[in-house]
Parts: sequence; C-alpha cells; structure tokens
Amino acid sequence: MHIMEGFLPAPHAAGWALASAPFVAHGVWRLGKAVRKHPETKLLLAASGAFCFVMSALKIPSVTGSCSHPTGTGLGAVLFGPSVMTVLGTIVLLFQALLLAHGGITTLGANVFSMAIVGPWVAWALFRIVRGVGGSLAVAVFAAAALGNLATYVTTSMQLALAFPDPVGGIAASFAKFGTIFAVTQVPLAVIEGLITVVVVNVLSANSRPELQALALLPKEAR
Amino acid sequence: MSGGGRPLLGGDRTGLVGIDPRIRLLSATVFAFVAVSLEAIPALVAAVLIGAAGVVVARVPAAAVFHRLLALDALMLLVVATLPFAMPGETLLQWGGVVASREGLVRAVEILAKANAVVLMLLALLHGVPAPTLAHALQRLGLPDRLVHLLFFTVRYLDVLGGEYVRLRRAMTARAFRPRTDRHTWRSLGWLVGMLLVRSFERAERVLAAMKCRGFDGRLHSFADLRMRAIDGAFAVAGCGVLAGLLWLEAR
Repeated sequence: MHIMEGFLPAPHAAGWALASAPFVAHGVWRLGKAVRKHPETKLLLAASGAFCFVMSALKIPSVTGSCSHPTGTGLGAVLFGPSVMTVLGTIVLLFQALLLAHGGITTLGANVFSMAIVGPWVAWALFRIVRGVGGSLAVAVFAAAALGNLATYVTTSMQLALAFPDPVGGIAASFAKFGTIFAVTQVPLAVIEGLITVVVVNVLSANSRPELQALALLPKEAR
Repeated sequence: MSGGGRPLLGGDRTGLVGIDPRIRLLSATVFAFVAVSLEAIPALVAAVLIGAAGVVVARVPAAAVFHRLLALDALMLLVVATLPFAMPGETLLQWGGVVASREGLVRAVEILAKANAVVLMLLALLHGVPAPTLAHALQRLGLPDRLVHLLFFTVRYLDVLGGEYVRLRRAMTARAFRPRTDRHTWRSLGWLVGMLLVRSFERAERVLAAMKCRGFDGRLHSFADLRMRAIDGAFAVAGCGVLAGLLWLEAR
C-alpha cells in the first residue's frame, strides 16, 4: 500500500527518508558483494524487480488515500533475503514514484520503510523462525508472505497515525482508526497472498531449482 | 505494464526536450517538497496552476495527463469524502449522527491540491524522459552504480514481463478461467505468478548470454549527452523564481 504524494507533512517525509537510508545503504553493500561473486545475479535480480513491479501493479483502491495490492515482499524475502529485497523494493518504488505517480517522491522514504524494509525483514524472520521450530516449508512460506504483507500495512497505519494523530485519543486512537480501515481490505488480501505464494514456491522448486541453487538464492531448507 | 503509456525506452518529444534531465529531476524533487510544505490556500492553488502550466508548456499528451490524474484522483476522492467526517472541528454538515467538519474539508482539499500539483509537475518535467536516460541522470547525480544498473535492467524487463503476463492471462482466459474467491482461483494465480517468475529467470539468462556476445563487461555506456548548458542554468533560475514566489505566497 503506497502512501500517496502530498499525504505526509514535509518533516515526516524527510524523517522517514532518513530512517530508511541506512537499510538501503546496507542492502546496496550486500548486493555489491553478491554481484561481485556472481555477475549474472544482477540480471536475475532485475527480472525479479520487474516481477515485484508487476505484482504491485495489481492494486485495489482502499480508503484514506492509499491503495491495497499484493506486496510480493514475502516471496522476495524468502528467495533473495531481506537486504536484497530492500534494494529491489526501493528501485521499484523509485520507478513508480518518478514515472508512474504511484506513491510519490516525498513519500518515497515512508513507502520504502514500510514496503521494502519492515515487510521483507518480518517475512524473512518469520520464515526462519517457523523453519527453525520444525514447521513445514509451506507453513513457513505462508506465514512469511501473509504476515510480511500485514506488517507492511501495520507500519503504514503507524506512519499515518504519527502524521495525523487524533485530537482526542492521540496517536493510538488514530492508529486504531487507520488500522481498522486497512484491515477490511488487507487481512483477506494477506491470506490470499500467503496461499498464492505457497503455490509460487512449489512451482519454483519444481521448475527453477538449478538456477536458484547455483546462485545460492534458495534457502537450504527449500532445496 | 509499459509505464502507463509513457515512452519507457523511446525518445523525448516534449517541449522540455532541450533541458538536461538532471535539472528536470532535481526541479521535480524540489518542487514536490516545497508543494507538500505549503498550507495557505492561495499558495496551493498557485502550485496546482504552475503544475498545469508546466504540462501545457511541456506539451504532454492530454490522454497521458487524463489517465494519470484519473488514477490519482479516484483514490484522492476517498480522502475528500472521508476526512471531513474523521476530523473534529466546526460543523459544516450534519446528517443523522454523522458530522462533517470544516477543518476536515480544508485538510482534504489541501492534500488533494498538493498531490495534483506534484503529479502535474512530475508529468511536465519527466514524462518525456526515456527511462534509461533517467537512470543515467540519477547516476550522474550520485546514485550508486549498482542501483542504477538494477533500475536500468528492471526497466528492460518490464515490457517483457508485462507481455508475458498478458500472454499467460490470455491463455487462462482461453481455457475458460474466471477469477473467483475460491481455492481454484488462488491455485491458478499461484501457478501464473510462479510461471511468470520462472520465465523471467529464463529470460534473464538469455539476455545475459546475448549481452556477453556483445562484449558486456559489467559497465553500461550511455549515448545520452548529459551536459549542462546556458539554457539549463536559465531554467534552474526560473524554477528558483517560481519556488520563491510560492514560498512568498505561503508566508504572506
């Protein structure tokens, strides 16, 4: 869910950009290491970036100036890791902001933080935790994709609540209000994204195993 | 997926073709941050009018402007419709137990004006810039090479993947697939997305092989001649004047 252009006050826009910068820098550094090792990774990652774009183009209007769509961050985080996904997400969001007016230049930092940082890291952590306690690949992928998606929306709700606190109930009341509004569309969408991602990982395991293993992109558990 | 009708890979045919893409990119960014910091209604109205004038001067096709604003304002309409009822303040309208406030309406109009002003200016300044040129402009402005290369290749794949997606969806439609809220639909969509990714991996390998045949060594060389000229300086000075005027209206 992109926060649209003009929606955040300028100090918030700048603040979220500053908060996102270290994560993006870390992702670029990690990406550099991966590309030096396997130069062909760059093209594969670009294809994945375009794929994320195609996924995020499937948007459903939501209220309060945002729109809902599958984030694809869970899948990306499981396949490529959260750092790389931060870079891919930033590229897709930058492209959308500059050329398609989807999201915005001033809200780029906030959108990167929710969609390219929180979503992938939560998805990746959940995947590792579920696999760590002996959960099946399908359960781990479902949890990563569905809850990674939801984490994105919880973050966006918090960003909007911080920008527009309720005059009576403050940030908490505003967060509850935004969260409730998004939950109507997002909880079912998160479940659907989780189910679809499980099927996607099955398809990839059956058809692209050598490529993913050669590039060390598929986690050991999924090989 | 071709970028909403904009020339992702084509040439720039807009009225601002002579202006360096770096200046256009910087101008759009600075204008966006100034526009979102405005609160006075006269300044916001002026920002929207400046954006509209920019679109006219840049000769952006009316269809592109219409589609972009339609996509933006269809969502923004929800803001205008809900914010007056969500914010407390002076009663403007009472319907049953629901109260719309003047403050809420003003805030909604502010957001609407800011978003439209920025999007119009983005269209005016960047609509005609081909994506590869934009990538090189970002590189020359200091964006890391790895990010620029990824952006460049991502753009390369967008049309390819978009076309692939359309072909696969067409094949599904030909087999009488109708999306519904059921397990069959989710499984089918999962296969669709999976196959899209598999094919994009295969395509990435073929593109890499083709690039290696052409001597690709990891560096991208640009044909875009990015050089600052007097007209770019004049454009930057005029832009600063416009922004100063907006800030003056805001401070008045």
